[in-house]
Amino acid sequence: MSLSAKDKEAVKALWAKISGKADDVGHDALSRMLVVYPQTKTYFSHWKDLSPGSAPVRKHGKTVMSGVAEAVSKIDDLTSGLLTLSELHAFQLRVDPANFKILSHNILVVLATLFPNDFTPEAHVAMDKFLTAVSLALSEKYR
Amino acid sequence: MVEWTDFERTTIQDIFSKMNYDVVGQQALARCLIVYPWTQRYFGNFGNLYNAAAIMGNPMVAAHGKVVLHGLDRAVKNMDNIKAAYAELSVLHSEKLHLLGDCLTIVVAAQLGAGFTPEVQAAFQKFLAVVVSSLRRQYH
Repeated sequence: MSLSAKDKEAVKALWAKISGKADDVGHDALSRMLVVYPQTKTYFSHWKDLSPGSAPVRKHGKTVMSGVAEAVSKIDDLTSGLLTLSELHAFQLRVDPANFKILSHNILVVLATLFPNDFTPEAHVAMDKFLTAVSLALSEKYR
Repeated sequence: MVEWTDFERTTIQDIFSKMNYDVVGQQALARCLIVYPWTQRYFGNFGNLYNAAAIMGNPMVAAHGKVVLHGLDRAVKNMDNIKAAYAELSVLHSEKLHLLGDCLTIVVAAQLGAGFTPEVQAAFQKFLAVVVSSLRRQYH
């Protein structure tokens, strides 16, 4: 299920519309993940405050979304483009790759709440494929 | 037995009391068929599902979307025994129902916007998980 030219265009078009609010999207998606899937909180036991709106959640939302932005710019070769990030997730963070699906789902939910008119079914399928491809690229160095 | 908090009960009743079943049903099912095209396998007699526009305009998809949402109503009205409420319906349903659940979450999120807070999302996804699990019972 690799990204077709049409998918890439759809992702870039949607990204152009949402990139201005990228930080909010990241913060909201992360907040939802921590509330709706509380098992993910174990990765952040070093934070003082895990509630939506807190400083660490906001800051980390930004970090995650800048990763997504990088992925959009390297959409033609995600595996090599995200090599460093993959090494980070594999060797240092050791995030169970199952959690990539969870965060991706929450990013899609946030896009639906913030951009209901732009997040058409066509945009949805392209974005879902893109986030799946990003997750795969991030898992590359795991084993 | 599933335990529901007062917040979860109120949230679910609230979402469904305000929902336009016909619109949301059609949108969720159409989105499912577009985003996860392999689900079209179950609707071989629905006619033209060749592209997103065809799916969005397909009257059989709209009609079935309505059926699905009205079916969900049974769970909304019997939150304390969803398993029993779906005993006969579970004979008909697929293992892949959670995909439709994901699309329903997205459609409701788009409708409610900021009102679809993380806590509301948690209650809604919990409700759908119970429904899906009850409908899959006959397969195990």
